[in-house]
Amino acid sequence: MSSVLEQIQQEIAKLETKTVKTNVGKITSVFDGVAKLDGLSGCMYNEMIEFPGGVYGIALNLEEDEVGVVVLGDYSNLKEGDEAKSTGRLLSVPVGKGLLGRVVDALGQPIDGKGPIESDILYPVEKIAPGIIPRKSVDQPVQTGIMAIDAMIPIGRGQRELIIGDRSTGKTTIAIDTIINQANINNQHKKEDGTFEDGFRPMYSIYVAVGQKQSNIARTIKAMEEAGALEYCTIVAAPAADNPANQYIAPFAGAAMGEYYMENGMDALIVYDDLTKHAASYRQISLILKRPAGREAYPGDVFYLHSRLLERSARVNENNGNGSLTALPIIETQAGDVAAYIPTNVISITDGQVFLETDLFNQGIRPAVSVGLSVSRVGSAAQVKAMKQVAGKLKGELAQYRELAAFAQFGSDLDAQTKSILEKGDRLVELFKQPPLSPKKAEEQIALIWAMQAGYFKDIDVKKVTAAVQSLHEFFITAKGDLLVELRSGGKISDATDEKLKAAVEEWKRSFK
Amino acid sequence: MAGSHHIKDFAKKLVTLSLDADGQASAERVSAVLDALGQNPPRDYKKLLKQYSKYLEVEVSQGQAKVEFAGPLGAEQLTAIEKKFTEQYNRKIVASTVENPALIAGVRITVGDDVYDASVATRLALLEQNVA
Repeated sequence: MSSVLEQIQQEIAKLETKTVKTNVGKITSVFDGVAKLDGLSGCMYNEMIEFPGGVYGIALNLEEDEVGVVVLGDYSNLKEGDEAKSTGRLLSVPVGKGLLGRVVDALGQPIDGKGPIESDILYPVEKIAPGIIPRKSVDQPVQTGIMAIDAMIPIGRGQRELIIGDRSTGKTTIAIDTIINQANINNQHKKEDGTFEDGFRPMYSIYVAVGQKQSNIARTIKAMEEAGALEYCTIVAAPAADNPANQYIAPFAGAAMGEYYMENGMDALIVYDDLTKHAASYRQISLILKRPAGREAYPGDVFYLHSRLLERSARVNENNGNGSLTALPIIETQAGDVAAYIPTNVISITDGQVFLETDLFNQGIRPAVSVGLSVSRVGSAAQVKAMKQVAGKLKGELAQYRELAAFAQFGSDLDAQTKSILEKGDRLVELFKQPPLSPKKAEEQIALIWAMQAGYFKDIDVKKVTAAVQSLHEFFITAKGDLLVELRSGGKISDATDEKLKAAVEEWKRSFK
Repeated sequence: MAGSHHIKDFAKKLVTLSLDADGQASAERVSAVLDALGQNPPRDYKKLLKQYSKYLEVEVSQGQAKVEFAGPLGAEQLTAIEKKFTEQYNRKIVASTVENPALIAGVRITVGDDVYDASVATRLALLEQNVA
């Protein structure tokens, strides 16, 4: 009781005696989550507008004699003639480490029943991306834990790498695996007192779910919880049942949460799952606001919608926080059509894409990464040296294999060189198969790829390669931990390490049947 | 769409014609404008009248300070309010009073879309919001 009285006394002390000025307007119509208001002559673009009953909205259309406000929340109690007032504030969300392990809505309010968010720092949802001067080149890797990606399409801290593919091709799985792998790496470098080893930069994750089924989001949360990744992750949920305004805001709110890490010398990863639905929700809002429709009925600024969002992911230099925000936007294509409006837009904005193919997925090649169509424009600058050494030629070899495999279907008489390329290709495909939620550490990947490149899988039947890879993987973890530590150091594979790898793989091979 | 722009432009011109030398909407001028329009009704007459009425309402509200008060409010204070807002908005502001006991004490002044609140009721509402 006394604390309540103290709180009231503090509030009374804080009360100012001066006059409060507000700019007001009256609702002339409310429909489909959009309110049109008369008045509000001093309203700013993107300003928060307060409606009766504690409902807020954002002013998105400033017209000659009316203001179009997108209502965030329940608009069923708003009616014509209700008074709304400007707040003088831009929409802001709580940010900081207090959000780790939490599930929040598009406004940063908790929806996981774990109590209020412990954070008193607010960041605006819309913010201009870092300019040219504060940026630094991307040269530190983000280990996704997925061999096909880390070896052939390396992603760097501060990069924007698009994950694109048809429905049910494993796009979300790649994103979740990456988040889980960040948690695994963080735990690996965590000391007993909860701090991290000197020089280690932990990676925090933000998963933004836009327009997804609630059941899918629940499954994702469960997977992260089970893998112990939730403690390093914040989930921003704007499910399909949420109003379009929240779905439109959610990625920007997530970006604001990620910017906190970037500006404070930390590294963060943000997954936008997915931007196709985000564009659709923005289209819905724009059409209701009667903005002119363009291609596929999207408004003219749909490119700017995604470019301003993704430009906020960057790596900044020492004078500007020395942090990074890596983005993994997801785009769902229809029947593999990457030339549709939104996919082409986002492809051109991002620094590369991981393209997932339905055919590969159905053939059992999972993750169904199409090596030919996937690219990372940052490239090997963001790859550890040892990985660069062993995986440098992989992409070319697989491309050659795919080309020859298509021809090999027609003829039976093949020359020895072609046969050898095909046989190696078959084994490489098997090597890169990886079940979901089982990311591999970089040093384990290096050891496995080294063994493949050194020809140790040559005499193993293709059907047994997956089992052999798994067996070798387990062998390295259980019996050759010191060698893995050596590979983890990040340097090139020296002749001595090469010899050790040789001896280890030969030892394994003697026992493998 | 082009038609609606035309109506808006026309309505704005009519509002300008309805203002007297002090920049205040005058009843005489408004009736003159309405007479002239009635004698020679333009296309979309009804729409035009609606738009004219809307703009005129905004114009009138911008020249008035609606003073809601609870407790005593003297003539001197009212004059001071008029003077203050006339300076602030750089146009003649005429104050009108409405007693509103719901304010408990203090005043709330509305000029156009702007609301200046110095009432106890609003302070208490703010306090309730912050303590909750």
